[in-house]
Amino acid sequence: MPGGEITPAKLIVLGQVAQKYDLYCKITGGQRVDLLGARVDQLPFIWEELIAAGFESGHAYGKALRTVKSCVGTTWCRYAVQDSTGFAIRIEERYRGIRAPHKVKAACSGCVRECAEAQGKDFGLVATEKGWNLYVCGNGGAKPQHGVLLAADLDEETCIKYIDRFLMYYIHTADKLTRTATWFNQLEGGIKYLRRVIIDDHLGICAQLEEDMTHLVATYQCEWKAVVEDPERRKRFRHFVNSDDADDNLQWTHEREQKRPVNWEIVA
Amino acid sequence: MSEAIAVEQWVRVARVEDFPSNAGACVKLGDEQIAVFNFASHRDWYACQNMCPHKRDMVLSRGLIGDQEGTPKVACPQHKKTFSLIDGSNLGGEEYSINIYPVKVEQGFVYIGAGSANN
Repeated sequence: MPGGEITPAKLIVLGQVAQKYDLYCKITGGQRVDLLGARVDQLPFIWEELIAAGFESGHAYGKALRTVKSCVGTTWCRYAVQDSTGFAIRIEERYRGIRAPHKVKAACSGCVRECAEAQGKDFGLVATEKGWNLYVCGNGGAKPQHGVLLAADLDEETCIKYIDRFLMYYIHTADKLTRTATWFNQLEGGIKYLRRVIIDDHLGICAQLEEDMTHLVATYQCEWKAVVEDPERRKRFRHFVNSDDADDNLQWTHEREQKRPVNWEIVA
Repeated sequence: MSEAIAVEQWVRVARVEDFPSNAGACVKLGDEQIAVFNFASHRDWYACQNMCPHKRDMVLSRGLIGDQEGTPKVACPQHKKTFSLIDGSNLGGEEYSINIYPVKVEQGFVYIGAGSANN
């Protein structure tokens, strides 16, 4: 659900699927809905129903772009100065599924009040009267770090161009399992150097970076759709290769009207 | 592999093509869950209990496989606890270890050695 936007009809489908498969539900920090507690053999069936209703994989299992968090923007908020939800959705649909050295989180706020917390993300946009301020290499988590302003008052097309270049430069140069904040802290020359690479094309690589990103965007596919539609790949989602039985070792209990796994100490 | 263990009975569990290459899959043998690994690049097969003794989840068949100084190993997908697929020992130094099982391939089928001293 790009940008955390969802129709009532799709919200009902999520509830129906969760009820059918007895899944634990929780709203995530990235403006999505967790449906937890499915068995591996149920996954293709669950995804078949979700995909039929218009959902696609959110790549929460991958070192990939996660969510682009947003506020409601000018459409609903008296303070906002840009359509942050619309731009968040555009960005999420452009970069969805892209694999990187580590997970990539983003956000888009409709004004300086920063309700989407864009300065705590790998890249974030904050609306101004004239356009968008683009922050990069922020991080929440264990070592919080504010994003650094890469460029100010950009129009949407320039934002996309700089984000394309920024993400590809990170993907090409960061060591595996290195988030953008750590990569940035190790980058000699800091934000001044990064601006020279991304904005001034100091290394003469920007055309290549944009071409690489265009290729990734053009070759996106929903990985769960690919599994659901392929009998061979579906076979990987059985618990046993020699039996259709489910894993009978799973033990559940209930808490606050939902199921959850028992604590492992109790299993003995 | 595990020739040292005396096998009383070989049980045919599945076809070779039922197993992914260079990865694991789980077979049901009676009431037991056994993780079987196809090291296709070395043409070797190994088997161990599917339960990771760390948190007792049935997950080792979904672990990452590789080798540590020549010893084939599996890393649990939950917390990366690693075990030798030669003797089941814990390669991370923790006290818990796993059971391993003899496995062989004949005429396109995978067999697990049952009734051995090790299990």
